[in-house]
Amino acid sequence: MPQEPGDHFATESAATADDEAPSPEAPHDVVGKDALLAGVGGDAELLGEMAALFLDECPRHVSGIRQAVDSHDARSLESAAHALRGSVSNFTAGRASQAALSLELMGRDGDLTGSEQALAALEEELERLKPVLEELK
Amino acid sequence: MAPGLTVLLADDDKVQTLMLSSRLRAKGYRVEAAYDATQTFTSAMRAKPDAIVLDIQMPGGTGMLVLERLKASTKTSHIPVIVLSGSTDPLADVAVRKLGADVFLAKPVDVDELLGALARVLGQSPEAASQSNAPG
Repeated sequence: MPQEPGDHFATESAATADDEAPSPEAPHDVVGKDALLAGVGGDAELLGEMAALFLDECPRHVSGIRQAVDSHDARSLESAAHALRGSVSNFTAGRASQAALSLELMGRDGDLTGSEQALAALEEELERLKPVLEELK
Repeated sequence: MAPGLTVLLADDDKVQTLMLSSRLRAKGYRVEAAYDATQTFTSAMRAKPDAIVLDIQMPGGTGMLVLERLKASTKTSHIPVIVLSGSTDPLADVAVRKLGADVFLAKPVDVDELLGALARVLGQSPEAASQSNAPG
């Protein structure tokens, strides 16, 4: 399936056809629109509502993670990162979900070494995800 | 269809709750939502749902604690519980089953798998569950 210009959504066919070295600036693993629609029974309106809700909730999640990192609170970090990971996983956003998982595991293991960098990576992934979700609204 | 059957959906993830509520309602279920442990237990006592879909990691007390309380109360112990978990603990499945959970599903949730599990614990035929998505 050809992608329209400006289409930031990954598709199954695009993913399989794109076996060459990935372009670092391409956000193609961010969201698979076809998969997202399939996951909500093809209900584009529901998907839009989910995207809007996630965008509303996201700052609160990130703030909780930031607070836990700043205060070196491992337990809160695990909880806050887990919550964000669960929420972002609704959109099958691999990189953002992985970034949240890294923080969650740091919290679980009680070792917050590198958590600032991990948080920065998470924020970067969320910034890539936001415009994609905006398009779903 | 699942007319008249009530499912209590307990998950602090509002995005997932929105999605699952919509899908379950489309199947004819009535849905009650709860976003933390206390609300879940209170809703279970009040609404007496036919089944509970429970995220095991919620704020305000863990879902594990809720599960334990639900199974300890004579008012709720009979209600089948489907546990959802995004836990990184590989033994989470075993732990929740020991506490009386009927089904364990890993997050992210496969909605069709959840609908199938609901049909099973509620004694519905899988055909009824799969045919109930027809509009109108």
